[in-house]
Amino acid sequence: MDEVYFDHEGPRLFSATSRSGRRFLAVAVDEDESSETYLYLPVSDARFGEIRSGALDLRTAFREPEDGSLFVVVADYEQPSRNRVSVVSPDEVAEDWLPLEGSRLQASTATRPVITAEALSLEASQRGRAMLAVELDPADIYRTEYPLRSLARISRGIQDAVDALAQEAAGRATARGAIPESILQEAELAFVESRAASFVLVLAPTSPPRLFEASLLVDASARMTELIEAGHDPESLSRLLAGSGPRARAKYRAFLEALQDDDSGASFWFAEPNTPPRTATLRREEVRGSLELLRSTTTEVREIELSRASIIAVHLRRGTFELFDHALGRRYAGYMEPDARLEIAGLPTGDQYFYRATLLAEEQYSETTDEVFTEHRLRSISERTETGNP
Amino acid sequence: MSLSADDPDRIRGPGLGSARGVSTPRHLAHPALGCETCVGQVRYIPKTMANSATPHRPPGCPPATAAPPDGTFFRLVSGKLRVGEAPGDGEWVLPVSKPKGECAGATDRCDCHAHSVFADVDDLRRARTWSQWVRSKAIASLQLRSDMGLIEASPSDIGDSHNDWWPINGDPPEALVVEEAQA
Repeated sequence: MDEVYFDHEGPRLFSATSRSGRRFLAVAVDEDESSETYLYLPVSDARFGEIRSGALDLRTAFREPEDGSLFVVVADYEQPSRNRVSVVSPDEVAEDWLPLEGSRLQASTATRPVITAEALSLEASQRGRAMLAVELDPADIYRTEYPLRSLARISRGIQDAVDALAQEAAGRATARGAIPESILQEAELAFVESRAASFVLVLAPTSPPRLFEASLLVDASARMTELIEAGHDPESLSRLLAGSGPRARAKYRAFLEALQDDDSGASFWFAEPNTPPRTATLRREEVRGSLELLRSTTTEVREIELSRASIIAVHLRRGTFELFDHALGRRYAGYMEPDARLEIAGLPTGDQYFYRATLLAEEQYSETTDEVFTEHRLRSISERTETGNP
Repeated sequence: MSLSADDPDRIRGPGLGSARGVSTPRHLAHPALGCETCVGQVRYIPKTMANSATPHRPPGCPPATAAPPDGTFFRLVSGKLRVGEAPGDGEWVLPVSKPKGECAGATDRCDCHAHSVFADVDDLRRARTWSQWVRSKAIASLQLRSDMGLIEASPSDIGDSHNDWWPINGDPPEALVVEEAQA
């Protein structure tokens, strides 16, 4: 027996491995006075990972066994010598013995090798190269996979924050305009591989290490790790933010918002060759706290109240919105905070429906020009009760 | 034919070995319940078991970490019962004393001396989507008080509200069927 997923005075849904190494998923289907009957589904490791994580529903798994057959095991407790094991095709299995349509296990399942801070440190020493690992742990991801759209946003958030912190580490921080090429080159990260668990981005500098001199990437990564760690302690975070320029604050904020929108925390492990790794963790609930503190201690974020807005478009999957404010005749678009995403789901769009909405207007800095532009986030939305929407 | 825990021909429940018992006995005996081998402590014999084979709990059972229960719990009972009916005495036979199942005769396994109860009824509803065996059972709610034994959380590998409940009072708890069988 490997794992039990449901137990009621005995395992009723479980995985097991035979002496020959064959793995099965088994479910209790029937019983009488003296016996119990189980369906055993032989599974490969890859198929097992899909079933365990919920990517493949249980009914489909039992209806479409990889080998084309299942085992019916009848355990006879009155006469153990009459225990029976029979091979059956899925068509021969009573329909009601199968799991219901759409039923899933949804257990967090590492589908890539697991990495630890110590293993990363060893790898950094072996490669002779600094390594950075960022662990993400969104609530609704059960495999070592990450939606590409979200991953792109988070990866961008990491690199932008590291760039801005590297610029500060170089003593050449600017709020506007492009970051000098030499700094970008030294702070540039490469994606090396993904690891478990839940989902770990393993990164390394693209530029060769500078000998006898601390690299900007090391300094920037150390600073990023400090910011993450300070998420536990508002006083420390306030102090660190006060010592950061507007660009670094804005980029770190954008990274935290990407985490918040994915309902994920983050752990940072930074390892240099032959040096103990530095680690820091920001739990999901601390992401929100760090963001609130960041917003409250800067002038770059302000709240906007809309009293008569219509929804032009909503993309729940992307987490984006577009509103039209009838009072000022302005359009607003951007990402939605998780609460707003729940509130807006199902609300009708169109000019005939009016809502109250609260937005955040956040200053952001262009990577290529001196331009400072404003990004909007939807914090909350509700129907205007007094206008009598149709 | 009687079964013994070490009968090599016996399929242990589902046929490939035991699961719940792998970690038992886990701890020292709980001082509130005592144990069979502890001198000067009260031997536990539930009323429902008084006229049948005595369940000899192993040393260290229940574990010292078990605590008195308090609140509403849920468990599976006979699928013949209807909503509002009370499960009969037959529903309170400890797994170790049942004629079948991986716990039958497994007197050395502490968990086999306990009933399965769930703090969250949704765990049982979810299990119904997985297993016809579960769908064939009714769901009963029961009120457990602190003088009714000891309880310890024993979640499955994906985490649920499963608890092992070692009853101390022989009277069956107040229980009523809240959901009928689906099959």
